[in-house]
Amino acid sequence: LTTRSPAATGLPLRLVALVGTVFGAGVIALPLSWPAGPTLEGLPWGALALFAGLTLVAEQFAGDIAGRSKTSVTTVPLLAASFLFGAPGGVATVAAFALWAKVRAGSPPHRMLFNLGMALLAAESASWTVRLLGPSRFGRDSFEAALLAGAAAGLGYYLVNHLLISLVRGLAERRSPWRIWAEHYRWLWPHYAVLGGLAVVVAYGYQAFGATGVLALMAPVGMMHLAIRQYVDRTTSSIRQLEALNAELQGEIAQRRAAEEENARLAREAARVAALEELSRLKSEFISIASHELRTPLTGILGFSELLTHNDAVLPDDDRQRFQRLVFQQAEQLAALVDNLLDVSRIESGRVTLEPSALDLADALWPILEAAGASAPRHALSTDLAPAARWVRADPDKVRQILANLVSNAVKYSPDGGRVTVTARFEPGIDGVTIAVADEGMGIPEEQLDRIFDRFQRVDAPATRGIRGTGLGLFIVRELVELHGGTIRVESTVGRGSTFRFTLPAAAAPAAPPGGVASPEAITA
Amino acid sequence: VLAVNGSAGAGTADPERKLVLVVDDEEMVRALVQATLRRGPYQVLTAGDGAAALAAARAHRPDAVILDVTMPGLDGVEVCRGLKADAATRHAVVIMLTARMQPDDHARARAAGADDYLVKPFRPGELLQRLGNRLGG
Repeated sequence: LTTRSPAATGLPLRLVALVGTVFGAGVIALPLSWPAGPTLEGLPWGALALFAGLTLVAEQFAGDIAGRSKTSVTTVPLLAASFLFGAPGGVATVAAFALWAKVRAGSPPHRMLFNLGMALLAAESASWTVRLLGPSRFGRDSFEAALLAGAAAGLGYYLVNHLLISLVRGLAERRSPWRIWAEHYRWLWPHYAVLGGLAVVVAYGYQAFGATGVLALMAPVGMMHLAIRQYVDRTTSSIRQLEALNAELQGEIAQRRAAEEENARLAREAARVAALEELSRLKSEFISIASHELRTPLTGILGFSELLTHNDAVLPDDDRQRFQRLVFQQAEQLAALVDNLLDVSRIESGRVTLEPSALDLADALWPILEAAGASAPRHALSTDLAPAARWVRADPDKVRQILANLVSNAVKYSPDGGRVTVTARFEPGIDGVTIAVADEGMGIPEEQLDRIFDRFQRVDAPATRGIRGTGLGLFIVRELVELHGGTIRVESTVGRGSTFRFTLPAAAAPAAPPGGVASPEAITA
Repeated sequence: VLAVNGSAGAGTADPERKLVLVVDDEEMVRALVQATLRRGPYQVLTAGDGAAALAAARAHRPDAVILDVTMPGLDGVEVCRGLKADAATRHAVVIMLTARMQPDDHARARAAGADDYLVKPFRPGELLQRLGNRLGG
């Protein structure tokens, strides 16, 4: 008998109903398999006691298969008794078995009732199977038919038994009975077919040799069961060992993973500290350079204004005017530097917000080129904006700042009469509008191209000495372009000139150009 | 770039007027120091970088050198060391001018043999006074 019954406490109502039904059905079906009606007269009490005893002994040696189900040869004497004596045989062995199980396990009454009812039903189904399929008596000429009927009876026993167990466990554990059957009992059916056949053999042994025949046959059956059990136990313990090993490995993997995560966290922390240190180093470098850059114009302002305050006749008018101009220039330089420093600070703290709108590049360029043309009258400034690429979606102030910076660089670093050209185009494979500011100036040495967009990096070449700059303009330009989602790059040849190309998101031109401005292509300075 | 410009009257040897070499990569600062020195009994030479400064010092043997620290190429401290190492220029009074103010700058300048040290922005009057003191009036 293979059974693992539900927990005893807190039985749901449906479970109680099922137990009652199974027990009731088992009892009611009893007379149907009672060959001579429900009477106790003429029953072979000795034989019944023998079979009941064998059932209990077999149960003693029941084995456990990997904690999933129990196996035993209990079914052999139980079925043999049913085959030989019909219902009384089944009742005797089943009742003995159920009582024994209760005594041994201290099972609660409902469990005993359920087991009794279930075993009765299973035994009845087996004896009915044999009666329907098998020969009228277990004679020499009908052994094969009896064997087949026995195997079928074993299967019938298996079906009734495990169907009911799965049902009751499903109710108790609130799981699908089908799942429980598939998990625990599905693979047991050949076992029961064999047990049914063995029960027939034992029944034959009883008819041929009486109790001696039964014992002589049950002994090898029991031995075989023990041999199988040993094998199963070993397999089970191997499985358990494997499972334990697996659990251990899983634990180790988890530990290793935790260690790796800890290492990764430490590495991240170290990287963060290194980044902070680098930031701190950059900040002090920034402050040092910024203070240097601030001190230079201040030196001019303070120095020349002190010289101007000497109200003596020694200072010629030419010098006086020159000093005044220098003070003004240095003050302008200082103001530009302070503006740039504030921009850098805003960019670095992420406080620059864009207010993008559709912007006509021609409108943005006009005042810039006009101012550049006024301060460098001999430069040739021109624009060439493709009509389709004239409109960008960007923050107008920032675009003006970008263009003013690039145009003033182009003018500053190219000789008088040099050409500075601003173009806007769609370039194949590049998103947005590509705007280029090209000059024919001194150019940038190749090894310095990478650094020119960094803070306080100015091209270091003899030709740039004496040209004032804060070293912040191109850094601000790059940051502003990237804030718009664009990119900036530079191509340059020393002595031939430089071209700065950057991209901005394109915008559709409005239906009617605002205000009817003069054609942008006409802007030259 | 060798940029040695004699100020007005630099070419003529005037024993009453001491010769001062002004070295700075910023043209504006050179102009300022030159204008400042013109208020005293000085003739002025200028140089725009370290190499030009050493060449000018050897050629003209100035009485004093006003030397910017932060310059591309040879910096002021290296120029000062060069001046003090050369017997021909060792006697020149060296006053360093710098926009930096790290304490070790001062120590480096002193170690290189500089006689005095002024931080930008400096007062022209202060420069004249220090130079006057060093050159013994």
